[in-house]
Amino acid sequence: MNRLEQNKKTIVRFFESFTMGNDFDFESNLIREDIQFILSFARLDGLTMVKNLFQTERNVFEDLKYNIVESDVIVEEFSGAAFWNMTGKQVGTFNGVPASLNQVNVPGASLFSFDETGKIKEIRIQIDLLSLMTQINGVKKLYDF
Amino acid sequence: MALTPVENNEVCLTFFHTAWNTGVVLEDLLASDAIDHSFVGGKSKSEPGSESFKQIVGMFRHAMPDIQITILDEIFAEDKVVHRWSLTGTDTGGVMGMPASGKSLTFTGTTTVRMNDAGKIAERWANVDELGLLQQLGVVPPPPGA
Repeated sequence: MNRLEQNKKTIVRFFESFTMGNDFDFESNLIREDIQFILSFARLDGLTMVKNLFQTERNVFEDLKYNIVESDVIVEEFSGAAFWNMTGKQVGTFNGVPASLNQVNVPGASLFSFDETGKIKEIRIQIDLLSLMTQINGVKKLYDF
Repeated sequence: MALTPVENNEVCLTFFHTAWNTGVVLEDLLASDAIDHSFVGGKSKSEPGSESFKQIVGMFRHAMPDIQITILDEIFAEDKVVHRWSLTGTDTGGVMGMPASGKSLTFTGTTTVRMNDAGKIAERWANVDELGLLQQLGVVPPPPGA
């Protein structure tokens, strides 16, 4: 497997199993302990914080999934991008909004940086948070203002 | 003949820099059957042609005439180009129908483009931090702890 194929496989596995909290081999081999996980509203420093974030998300959104299309994953030698739809049912408080029990479907993108050994060293997230907050009744729709 | 990934990226850089920084949408860089999948500013369905993108650019340039794009990351391979960007401008015209705030606003997003074999932009997807923009305007409260 060449480097590009390896990067693509790493990204797919990140979404299909690491985010589900059940891929310990991935944790030890494919993601750096000092990973930087950057959202528009927060920056998480290190693997423990990233794992805690996904654990919290799984508690808040029942049946949480990040749905990606493998053929749409774009990779270079040291970077990659993936586009996903996050789905799940909001059963816990998110961003101060109590459980709505609503099913959500939110698009987003993740941009990955890899180190020389192929481990993920940085992930930047772009999520349509306005759409998510609207779907859980957390914000009035844009044109209602 | 299809362009190289580097050339595809250059086409996209020219297209987006020109559109956002000057307001001119270079239609000759768009495929005749181009589709815009960008659900921004209240849009909720894919639209053919250049009108959808023109509306989005026009809306923001009306609100922020000095708006400028900065490309923060570029990833390109085969027929796809991904840009992470920020847009910065002064809200002198009112964003999304709201009164002008006079504030300097910055918001971020990603755009993905599929190029066709003729080296034209065939499809465009954008993901924009609209909530962050509304929070800067004070229309939506910041997240807890911010």
